Amino acid sequence: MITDENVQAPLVDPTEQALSKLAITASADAVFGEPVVNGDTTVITCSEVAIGMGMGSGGGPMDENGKPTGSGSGGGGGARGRPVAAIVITKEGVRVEPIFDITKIVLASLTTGTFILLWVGRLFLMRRSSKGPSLSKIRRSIGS
Amino acid sequence: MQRQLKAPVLHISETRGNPVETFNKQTTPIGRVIQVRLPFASIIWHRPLAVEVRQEDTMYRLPIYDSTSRVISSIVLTGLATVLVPFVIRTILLRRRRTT
Repeated sequence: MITDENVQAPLVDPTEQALSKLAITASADAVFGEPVVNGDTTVITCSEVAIGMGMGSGGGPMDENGKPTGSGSGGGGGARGRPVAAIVITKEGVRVEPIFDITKIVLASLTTGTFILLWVGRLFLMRRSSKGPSLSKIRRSIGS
Repeated sequence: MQRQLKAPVLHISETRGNPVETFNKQTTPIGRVIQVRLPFASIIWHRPLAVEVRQEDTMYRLPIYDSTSRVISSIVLTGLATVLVPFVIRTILLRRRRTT
């Protein structure tokens, strides 16, 4: 028979507790902002929220007396949020306006451009080496 | 004996924001939550998915796209294609030359 005394509260470790709190933080209110009304237009901002967390612990080997030599534990976490779009409600209808993060796009372009330049340069060098010794190498060998 | 509750490793769910009623229209933003739960780590990713618009008898959904991510992905993919395509062509040509 199940009584109130038999029913025990489920064991939830501290990580789970912290995560459930984080999950509340990442609720719909965190992603969708409060509607802003300006005349006939209502705007709702939409953001992306990501939260990560990790924990770890470990211990050293036992000494001659059977006592642990040392132990340690640590944890870390991070959160990020960025605007993705804005919902614009007008008399004419509802539309979704995208929000561009120019800084991120420029950084990605620069990184990709550098990557392309390095690889293309490497390809040209490889072609040179496969054709035979370069002019400078021949000159050096003649000179020596 | 106490039992420990086991949550699924991957959990995907939908969330709904507060509906906004304007001009005979009910607009409800919808989000998607992706949770990855490992024994000592967890990630929660919550992003907007769509807007549900209800007007009298009709109901339609407007998708919300992450334009920044799309632009960045296309830049990176273009870069990879620019590098990989000449590299593959060059490798094929070199192999052909060696066989002949």
